[in-house]
Amino acid sequence: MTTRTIGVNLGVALGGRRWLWLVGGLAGLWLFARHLTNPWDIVMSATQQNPVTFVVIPLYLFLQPADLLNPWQSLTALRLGSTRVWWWTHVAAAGLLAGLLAGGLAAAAGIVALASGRWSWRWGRFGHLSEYPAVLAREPWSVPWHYGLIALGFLFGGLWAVGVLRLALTLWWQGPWMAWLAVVTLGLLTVALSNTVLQGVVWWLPGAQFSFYYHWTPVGSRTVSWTLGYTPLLATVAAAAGLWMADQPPWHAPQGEAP
Amino acid sequence: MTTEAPRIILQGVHKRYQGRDVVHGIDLTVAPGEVVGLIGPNGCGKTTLLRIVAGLVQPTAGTVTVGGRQLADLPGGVPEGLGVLFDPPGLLPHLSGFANLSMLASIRRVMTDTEVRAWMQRVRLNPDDKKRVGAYSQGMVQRLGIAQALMEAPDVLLLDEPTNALDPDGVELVASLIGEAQSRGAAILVASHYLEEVSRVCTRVLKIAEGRLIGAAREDLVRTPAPELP
Repeated sequence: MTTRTIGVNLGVALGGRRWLWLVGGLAGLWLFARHLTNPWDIVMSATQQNPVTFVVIPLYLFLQPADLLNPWQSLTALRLGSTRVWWWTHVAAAGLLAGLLAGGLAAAAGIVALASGRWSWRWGRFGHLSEYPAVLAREPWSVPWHYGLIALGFLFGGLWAVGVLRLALTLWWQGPWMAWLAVVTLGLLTVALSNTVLQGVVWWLPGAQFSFYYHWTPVGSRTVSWTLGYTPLLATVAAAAGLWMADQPPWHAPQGEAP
Repeated sequence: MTTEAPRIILQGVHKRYQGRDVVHGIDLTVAPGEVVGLIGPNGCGKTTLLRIVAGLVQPTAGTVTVGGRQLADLPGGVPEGLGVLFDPPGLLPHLSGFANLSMLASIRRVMTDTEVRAWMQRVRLNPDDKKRVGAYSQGMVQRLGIAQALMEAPDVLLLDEPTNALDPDGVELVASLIGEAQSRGAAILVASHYLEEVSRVCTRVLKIAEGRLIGAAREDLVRTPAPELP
């Protein structure tokens, strides 16, 4: 891998339709960050107590596995303790659990498949994984790249899931339909953006254009890929409309009035 | 006090942690407008009892009823409309005092930012102070904790060591705020290990030792109950 190769791949990626995916994704991220009271919140979410609040508390309310001891979690849980909120935390927690389960299973299966040599990252391009040893011998750096991608997928997916959950929780008092809109729209955006980012990254990696992820995502064919490529833009527009509507009367409960 | 049904009812509440009994079959009621103090040394089970009432700790046995509903029947097992002060108060250290209260207030959304600011001023903190809570003194953190517990006018108030780290002025403030909450009919449970301090604000003070209620504290230390509620 050389600087020139990276440059060529970057140029190809930006020159193609993928720039649309990236623009859509970035626009979505911008909208998302703009809506937060404090954009740093999401950064802090990744590092401090907030993921506990927005992940563990729904899980706690969903599973009720043990006693809640952290004071910040406790304060938040007590303020969340209404029936309507309870239902939405259950919806969010169920989605989160399903996502974690699906992601975990997919990753585990992928790792096992790669490790056992029954699945090749070159499958789509070179046809068969019997070439695995040859590819490995020729491009040993491919292995850390691919495991790195798995890690990246987890990191990105996890952060994005927390973000989506955070926004959905922020919006739930706008009414159930608003929460649904947020969850559905952002869920769509999540899928599309995950594909976009992962594919974008994969595309830029020299010699890894048809990656493990490419075959594991729903973006299996050119047509579907093309269609989904524009989804971030559509989803961003939908999210923008949703967020705008959320701020309009009568949906926006005036400050000081009970929802 | 009123003849209204108690807001907090504990019946035979028992909690066992890792093979150790920390709360033993406690029966307790707290009526609207009543301030009940729990006095006992550190580790005697006061905090666990408050957490059980808040639904944050599930009792091993017994029933807990808050606001007329058994916690076991509530979704999530957490009661609504509760104000709680923990020791230490659960605040986010990287945010300012106002941002902390504002974020907590945004969950139920029953308060305006103006009201949040007013509450900060009530506990003698500056809402415009950008200082992070992590840089607050212990006394300031405690004042902020008191504000978050009281600001939404809860019907049930649980206060764990409310005067911790407060100067005499702060102690007076807490007494006055508890009095106000009592006057509007809140049922209040206060845990502390300072009898004199708690007895100033309580209509009833109970001793707790090794997880057992062992009777009322001295009557002469307990103030006169609040007048009848309208």
